[in-house]
Amino acid sequence: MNEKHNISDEPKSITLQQWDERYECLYKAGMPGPDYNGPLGRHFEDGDLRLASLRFDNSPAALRLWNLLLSEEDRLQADREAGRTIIGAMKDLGTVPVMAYALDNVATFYPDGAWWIPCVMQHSAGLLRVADKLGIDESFCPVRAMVGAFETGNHFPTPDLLICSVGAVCDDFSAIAQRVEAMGHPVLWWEVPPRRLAGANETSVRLPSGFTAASSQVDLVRNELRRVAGEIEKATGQTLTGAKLSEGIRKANTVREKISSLRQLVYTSDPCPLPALEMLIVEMLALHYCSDYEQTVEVLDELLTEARRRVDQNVSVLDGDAVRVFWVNPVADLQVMNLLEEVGGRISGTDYMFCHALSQIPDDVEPFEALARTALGDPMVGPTADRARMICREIQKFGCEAVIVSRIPGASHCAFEGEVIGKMVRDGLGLPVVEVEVPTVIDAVRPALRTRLEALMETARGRRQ
Amino acid sequence: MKRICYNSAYIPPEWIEAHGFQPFRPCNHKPFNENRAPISVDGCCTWSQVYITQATMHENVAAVIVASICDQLRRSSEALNTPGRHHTPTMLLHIPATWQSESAQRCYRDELHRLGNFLESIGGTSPTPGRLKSILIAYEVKREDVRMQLQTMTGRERATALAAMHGDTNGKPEHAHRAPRVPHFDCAAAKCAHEDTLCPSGQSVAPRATESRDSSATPIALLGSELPRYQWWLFDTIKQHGGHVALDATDYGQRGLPEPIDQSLIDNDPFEAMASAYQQIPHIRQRPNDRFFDWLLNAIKQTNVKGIILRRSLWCDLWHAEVHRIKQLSPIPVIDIDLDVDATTCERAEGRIAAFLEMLR
Amino acid sequence: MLFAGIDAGSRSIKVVLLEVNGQGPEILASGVDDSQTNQAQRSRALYERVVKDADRSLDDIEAVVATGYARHLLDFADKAVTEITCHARGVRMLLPDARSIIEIGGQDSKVIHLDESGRVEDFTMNDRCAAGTGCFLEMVAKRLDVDLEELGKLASQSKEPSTISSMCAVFAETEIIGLLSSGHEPSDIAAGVQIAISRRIAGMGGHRLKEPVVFTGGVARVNRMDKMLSDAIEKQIVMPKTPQITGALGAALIAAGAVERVF
Repeated sequence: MNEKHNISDEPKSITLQQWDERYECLYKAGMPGPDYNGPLGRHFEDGDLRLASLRFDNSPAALRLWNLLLSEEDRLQADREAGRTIIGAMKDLGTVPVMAYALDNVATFYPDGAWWIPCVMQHSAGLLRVADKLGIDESFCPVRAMVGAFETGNHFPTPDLLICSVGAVCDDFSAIAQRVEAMGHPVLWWEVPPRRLAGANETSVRLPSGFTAASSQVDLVRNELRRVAGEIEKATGQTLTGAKLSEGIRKANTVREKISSLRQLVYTSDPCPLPALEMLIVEMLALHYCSDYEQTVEVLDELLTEARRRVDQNVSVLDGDAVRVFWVNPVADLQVMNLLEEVGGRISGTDYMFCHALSQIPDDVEPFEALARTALGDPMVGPTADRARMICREIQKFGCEAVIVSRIPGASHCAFEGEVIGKMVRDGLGLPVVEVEVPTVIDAVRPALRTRLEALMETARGRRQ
Repeated sequence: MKRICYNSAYIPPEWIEAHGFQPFRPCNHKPFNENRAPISVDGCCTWSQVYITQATMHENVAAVIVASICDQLRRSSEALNTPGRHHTPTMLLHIPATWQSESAQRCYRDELHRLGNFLESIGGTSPTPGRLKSILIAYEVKREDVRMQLQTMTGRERATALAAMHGDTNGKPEHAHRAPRVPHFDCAAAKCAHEDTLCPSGQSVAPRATESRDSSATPIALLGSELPRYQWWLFDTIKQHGGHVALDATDYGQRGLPEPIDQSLIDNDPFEAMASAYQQIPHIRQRPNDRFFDWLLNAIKQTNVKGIILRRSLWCDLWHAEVHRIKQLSPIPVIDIDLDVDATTCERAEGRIAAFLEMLR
Repeated sequence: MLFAGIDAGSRSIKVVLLEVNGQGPEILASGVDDSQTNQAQRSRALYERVVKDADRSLDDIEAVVATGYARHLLDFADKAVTEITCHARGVRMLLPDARSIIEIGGQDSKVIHLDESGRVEDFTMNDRCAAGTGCFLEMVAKRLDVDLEELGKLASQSKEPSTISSMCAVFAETEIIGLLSSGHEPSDIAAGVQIAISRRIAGMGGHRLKEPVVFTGGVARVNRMDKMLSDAIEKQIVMPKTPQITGALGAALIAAGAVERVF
């Protein structure tokens, strides 16, 4: 077997150690790549212990995706040293970064993304213990790791401006963000009302995600975004003109379009060209580009090329017989995405709670109006039934056979929405649904979790006959 | 007169009455497992379930208003809106979590107007400025009477009087609070009478506690969200162990009272007078919630309470998250008691309250 | 031809030997043992004992299917299948008309919905919380100082069942301690616990249950649980004669189906 063939061989699911060995081969063969690329093992050495329990896609595109994700902390530190303005956006999932990346020398990230640190570092960073000590115990969702991250200051630089959406948000999230503020990190709060339909004498506005809202609500959000923009201008010393914001929207739409193409290709192709775990990371890029817009675009292009190659060659890491699963809510432990595939499933559709960040932001209306419409289209700020209906539409679009509603421990929306979504899927589509709760590290509940996933696959397969 | 059931201090009863309905903010909730709601709201917190239970089980209710003071109430209102499950008109009223911006202030007023439109759509009448003004004054007189008597009331009497102001007389005629002592409302006089209770931000707080009925009782503050009637045993327990609730800082208590309404503003723009007074109510859910802490610290100072009993509902994240900070900022001891509806937690709470009061003495 | 099904559950191991001939499948022998630790070894030992007691040898067994909590640990099994599928399969043999199954095992409780042909349409399982499972009942029995089997009898003496309101096993235990210390009768507490578990199961989709509803699993053997459950779901409950072994029976049937295609 020649070296070149070994490098570009068929898709495989490989371990961390296998990736490091493979990286050596790729490196020696002259694999091109950016500075942050390298063996994944170095992240393990830095404390990302969970990597040793995951299985990864073996494509160089996937390697770069992982390296982009896992090097974000370094990138933010470099931004700080370079004097760039760092903005921490909380909760809005994809709105504030559009404004921030419209300006020069600004980096944006989501401190609430720290919710994955306890998983990735297998609790070794002690963030949840710190949160416990500060009164944010395990009855809150894993976003509480953010409290620990702010307290220790070890995982991201303290933002120059911290912005959080409130109103129609979960109590636990709002409470955690307030706790962060009380620790000495002032927060700029902006209001998002619970989305509702227009009343008898009101105008209705169609939102990009397909929902509609009263125009007064869009007006409110637009004014709030202008207020946020004013604070961003103060922090950066730059003016966020309409033209600049339009450019920010164009950039966001480019990323969203690439992710949508990738989702469409991966979730509808048989066999499935890319694994669930890598696709979860891909979808997250829609939010803030892992603090590097240009690199995100390149990573997505590489993944699209790889996915197209695999589809053309009819090769995959997965069995072609895999059960087509629609997954609701992101998982606190990444390993669960591997587990789904181990038991014979594949992802064929998702709602990771930020579908609005995958929609194209309108470019035919005033930019703040466009952004407001997109923000108000967040499935989480409207009635759960709206979200359930959207999920049903997506399930039908992608031809899914089974649905998994993943609960986030302590998240106040989960207990209620699971029943609503489950009922609508069962009654409307007649598909089997299972609800599972995924803690930050699943090791102790893995057998129980596996049983549920396996039983769902058996049930879905049984229904094929 | 048909009743409008509502759930929050941010909904002015005057506004409901001005539209021709009887405002009714029930606090006589029963534990949900003894009196299950016809509407299932499984998955939401106990408190929201008992509100929905009560709202759907009372008679003569023309509509149910659910204020979005937390996400549990917001979501439980969806259960009421599910077609075919509940036939009483329902409205989710958004109370902005932010309060300092123009947008937030406008949003609150817009929501009150939307409430007015809703009430008209179910048979209410749009109030004239004159009608609203007279109702505002009548309510202010009632409130002023309660404010004047706060210092001499026991905790239970105070809770009864405040509940009656919201239309909840526990099925009895409305005589729970005493006859008005201020026959003709004079806002300026009322303001003056309370000048010593104003905190630096201008927010009114409870009057200074003088002697309780039992002069040896330890004055304490009761803090938390709504204290439902079925948990009023707390007042008795506190009294039994030598305490006296001198400051009721629960949502139904003094904290939930709007500050005295400016008479000149009532004359010029009664709606604005009402909205600006009610939006000033401090709440732990506000972002940021500094205003709540300002109020609390001033109230502690003014009432000379010796300790705080923080009663919070099990699973209420908004209060749970602040326990640490309340303890950190409070100049007096704080005990945190989470209460569900079962007997065991009541016993546990009683033991802890007894120990806390022993400690304070 | 002989087939074996082994249900290696969290609390007990069940083995069923199934004989398939021209008359159809028939249970030849069965056995039950505690799981304790080393489930794989204990499962193997029970399996061998059941085969031996039936005067057969391991070589006579055509195929073995494992199910239950430790199914993947049984390396001598030909296949591992979940309890959901196995209970459905086992119930289908014993009670062919069944449309719903409530199975309460040591670690999990399940509500399984079957279509008209007995195929699994959908299912619901308890979340991570142990309330509503066999191990929760064991904890209660231990607190009340009775054997698990006696818990039902104790509950039957109740005059006024206590209210257990917590949805969490840990909090529920705290409640039970509190109730005992405040003088509640153990019989009332036992009855209260049975009611609480039944309501919890009903909350797991009990409103969607179609009759006949079959109750299986180890907890089905606890006296009066069927009545409490029936009250909670407001439907009649049917019990197989051997509710504890339906999972193992289903596993044996799947083993036979995989080899012989007889079903």
